[in-house]
Amino acid sequence: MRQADRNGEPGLMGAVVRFCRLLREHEFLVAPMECADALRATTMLGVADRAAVHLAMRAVLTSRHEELDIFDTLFERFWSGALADAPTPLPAPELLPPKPRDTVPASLSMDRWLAAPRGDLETVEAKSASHSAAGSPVRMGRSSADELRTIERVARAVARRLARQPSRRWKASERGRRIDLRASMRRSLPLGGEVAQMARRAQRLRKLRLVTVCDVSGSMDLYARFFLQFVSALQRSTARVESFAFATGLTRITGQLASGHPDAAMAAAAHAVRDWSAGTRIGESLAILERHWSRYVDRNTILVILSDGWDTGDPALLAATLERLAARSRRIIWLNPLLGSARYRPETAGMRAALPYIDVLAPLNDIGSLRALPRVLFH
Amino acid sequence: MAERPPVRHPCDVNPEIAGLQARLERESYLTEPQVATAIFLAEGLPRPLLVEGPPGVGKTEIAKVLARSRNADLIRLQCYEGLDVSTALYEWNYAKQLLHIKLGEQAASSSSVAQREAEIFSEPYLLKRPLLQAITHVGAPPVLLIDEVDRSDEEFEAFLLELLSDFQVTIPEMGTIRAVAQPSVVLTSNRTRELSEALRRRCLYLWIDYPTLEKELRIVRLKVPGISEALARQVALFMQAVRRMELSRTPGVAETLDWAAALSLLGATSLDESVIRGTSGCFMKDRDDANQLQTALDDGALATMLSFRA
Repeated sequence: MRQADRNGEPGLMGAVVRFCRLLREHEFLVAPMECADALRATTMLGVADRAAVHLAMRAVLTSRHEELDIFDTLFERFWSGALADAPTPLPAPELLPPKPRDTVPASLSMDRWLAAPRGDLETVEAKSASHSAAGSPVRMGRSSADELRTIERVARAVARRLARQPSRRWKASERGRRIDLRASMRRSLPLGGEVAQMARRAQRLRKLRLVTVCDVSGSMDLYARFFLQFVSALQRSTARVESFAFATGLTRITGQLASGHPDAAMAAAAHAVRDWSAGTRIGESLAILERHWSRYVDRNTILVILSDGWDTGDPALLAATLERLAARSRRIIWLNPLLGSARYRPETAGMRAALPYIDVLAPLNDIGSLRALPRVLFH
Repeated sequence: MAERPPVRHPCDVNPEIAGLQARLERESYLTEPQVATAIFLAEGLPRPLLVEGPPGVGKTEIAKVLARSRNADLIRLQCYEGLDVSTALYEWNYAKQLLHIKLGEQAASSSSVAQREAEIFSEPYLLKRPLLQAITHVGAPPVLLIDEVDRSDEEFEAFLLELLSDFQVTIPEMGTIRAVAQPSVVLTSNRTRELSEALRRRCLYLWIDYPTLEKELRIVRLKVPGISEALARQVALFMQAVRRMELSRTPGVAETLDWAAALSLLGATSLDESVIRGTSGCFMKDRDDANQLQTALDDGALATMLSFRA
């Protein structure tokens, strides 16, 4: 502990520790070992050469490409004062993900919806994307008990299949399909080379993850609730689901939807999403997903987007973001409730921009299309 | 697409890092202070080095150049999905063991069962795969390159993490084997998959991006000595412009060098549309990209591409 003092740099260690704490507040992966290594690196290079110290600390303390810029900003801000006693600066607002603008909490309408008796059908004119698409009224109220059971069943089916995709890894198994020659020869050694029993291998199962991104803007309100009921049931069946809701910005609602009772889950989610029933910016929201939550989107992820494609954002941004997400993830599935109408064609700028990067485009507007979902997801 | 601007401070570069940079440049690898610092720390602390970046920018080269500059051996483990311990660490040579047993039976030797067992489970019957080779290397500590670690899976990463912490391996029949000298470890990743937090924390992080115009020009001049100055400049300008196009497979430095070598071989003196069309296979590896480039050239974009300054 006296190392810093011996080197004649009083407070260097304290400053490095404070800097590491600042980084941790910004969600950097910095544990005490990394902090100690940062200090050693600094003493190895000498404190006088600030450029070298900057590069050295960056190599030790960052672990992702996205963190490099944030690190540079924080480093400048922290060490531009005197090295010893720089006060810990407050996190800058622009470094945090942008908050969606405040709207009237649509949780009120959600509470009213939850309080209505089951089976009451709410007839609503679904806002249509263009004049040519069908504007037929949607009959969607809170699902009856039967429908809830169907939703739970479908959710369980999806959860089962998520956990059991075949992968390329093989493991020893007495009932496997393939013969494992190496293990068979190994077993024959104590018998002097006579192969008495063949060892077998079976395929290990790959566990996929599902990331659902649900459009909760004004035009999607009822469909979103229906879908989120399903996602909530899915989260009760498996842990490998992450759920997000977006309108003008993106909110993660995995924690809220995971709570035990379906109604409580929906209410919690509605309270968490500040821009429920607001306008739509698909491209911007997906860009937030890619920037801040990309750790959930990898080779084993199926990305499911529920949206009617009607948005006021930039189609070019949507296309570029979807292209990058498509490269990272296993499949992208776009569920469009308007597809349920026979006359609908994906003509909005948003849908057209997104089409090349979608693996499967399918409808989701009622129980029937929900029952078809496992097939859509897993082919 | 260009590199991040260098960190500007009015100080001299640390002499040890400058020395390392000079050593790397002698092996024809041009680099910046940040790469040299990362390598310096990876050896000094010591910690494994995780190198990320787009394909073709020289991530694997770092390990090779490092090995050459230290006159050390390079041991390479190429990762793929389903890579498991027996392919990465070690395996017993079952066929040889069986043969030994059979021959032993016929010769009717007088050694006991235990002795014979110790014989067949000894080093001559052990097939050492790259990771074990790195640990048991004699002589100067080698450079262990674990290439494209993002193509392996989580289980392998967990195993790798354990190995990188202790550098020791337990083989049940032989006991624990500890590394005599810790190898320098370089991991590369193309970011197709998010690596586990534990692995990323364990390693130093280095991001290598596409080069700037000046740097690419220097690389071309260094690696393709026969090329004329004017042509090298045109090639560098063209590649910078190509990278600004929205391609599905953006060409890296490796492609630039291939193209420059091809042009030099063909004896081209300057870039024009017919030359580019003829040699575009060197840097365009996708049909849609090639069509996009063709359209751009047909629209007369060549002059703009060759005159742009970064």
